[in-house]
Amino acid sequence: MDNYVLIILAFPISIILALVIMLFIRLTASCFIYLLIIVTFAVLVCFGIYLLIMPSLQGHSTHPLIASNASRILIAIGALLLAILIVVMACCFRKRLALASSIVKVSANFVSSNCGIVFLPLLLFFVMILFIALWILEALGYYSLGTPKTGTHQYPFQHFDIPQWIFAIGAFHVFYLLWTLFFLIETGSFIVGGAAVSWYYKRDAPYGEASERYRKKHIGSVCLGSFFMALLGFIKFLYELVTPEQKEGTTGCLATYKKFCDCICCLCTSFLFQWFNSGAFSVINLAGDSYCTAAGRAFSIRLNNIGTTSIVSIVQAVTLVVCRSSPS
Amino acid sequence: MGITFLTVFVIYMLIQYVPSYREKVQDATLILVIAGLIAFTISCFFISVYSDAMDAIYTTYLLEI
Repeated sequence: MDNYVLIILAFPISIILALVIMLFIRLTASCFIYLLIIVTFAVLVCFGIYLLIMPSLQGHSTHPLIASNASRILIAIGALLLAILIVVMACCFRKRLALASSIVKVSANFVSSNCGIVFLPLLLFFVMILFIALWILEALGYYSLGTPKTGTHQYPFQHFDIPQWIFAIGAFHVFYLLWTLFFLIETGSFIVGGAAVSWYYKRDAPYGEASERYRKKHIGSVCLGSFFMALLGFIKFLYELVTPEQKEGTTGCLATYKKFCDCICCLCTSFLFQWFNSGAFSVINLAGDSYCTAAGRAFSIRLNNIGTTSIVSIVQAVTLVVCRSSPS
Repeated sequence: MGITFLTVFVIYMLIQYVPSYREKVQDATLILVIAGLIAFTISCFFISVYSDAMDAIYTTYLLEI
């Protein structure tokens, strides 16, 4: 029983920590990136110097890399070179870093002036949990359509023989889950992005305007965007199912499918597509274009500014790593 | 420090230093994993506001210049 209390405690603790970290970003928005660069530089330099001036480590450490004198010096030089590289990169890309820093600052201003918007993703999260519960009930319903069977060693619930057509329904059911989950996630992205765009142009009620735009005009665009994301997720799911059964030297359709999926994974399509989708939604919110037109415009405009876009994306990823320990 | 790590750290400290938990919890691994998952999900939802706002503002800036 005490264990459940600890697990339930994780909810308020993480919510409070999330609010504290958001406040921290708000307070240090203008210097957040520079602060991260300085901290990284200082840590690397201190680590390098520590390894260089502590020959006594050789006697105490049991780690094979640090126990050897040559490895210790090599690691120290590597850390110092990395620190210098970070400073050189920061100097070379200072204008782009300044732009990225300004974007962090503006988005922090947006979040602090529209605090209520923080609860939209949280609301969508609870809707998602309810939907998953409903989805599990539906899945159990499909399972119970099979023929009841009994065995000697089985779990204490009714088991069923599943015909092929129920498996087909099951595959569709998995796709339906993915599509709905992506739809809820993309709904949050669309409304938050739309509110940010309206706030940028100093509209009176950015959140109300964005949610009205979503409800009255662009639910279809969000559906289409989430359909593509779900399709990609479904391909990945099939890939995960197929891969463990692969044997060396397998030929035919399965091998071709595996190669195709490997290529897609190499290109990190899901990450690229997420990037593509968020740009498309921003253009839809700005210009009111259809999904495909907006996606094309967003893609070309980002491609034309690929250097700046890369720096902004790196800054965004680093901010996310610092905040939640994951880059995307 | 990420929200996930901090939450797991706080729960770990509770297990280590609160006498009732220290006596009753034999293996904290599963609790820490579940707490980490909860914290990660919540942090994703909160921080996605920043991420989406940054994306939208950057695209707006690009369309404006």
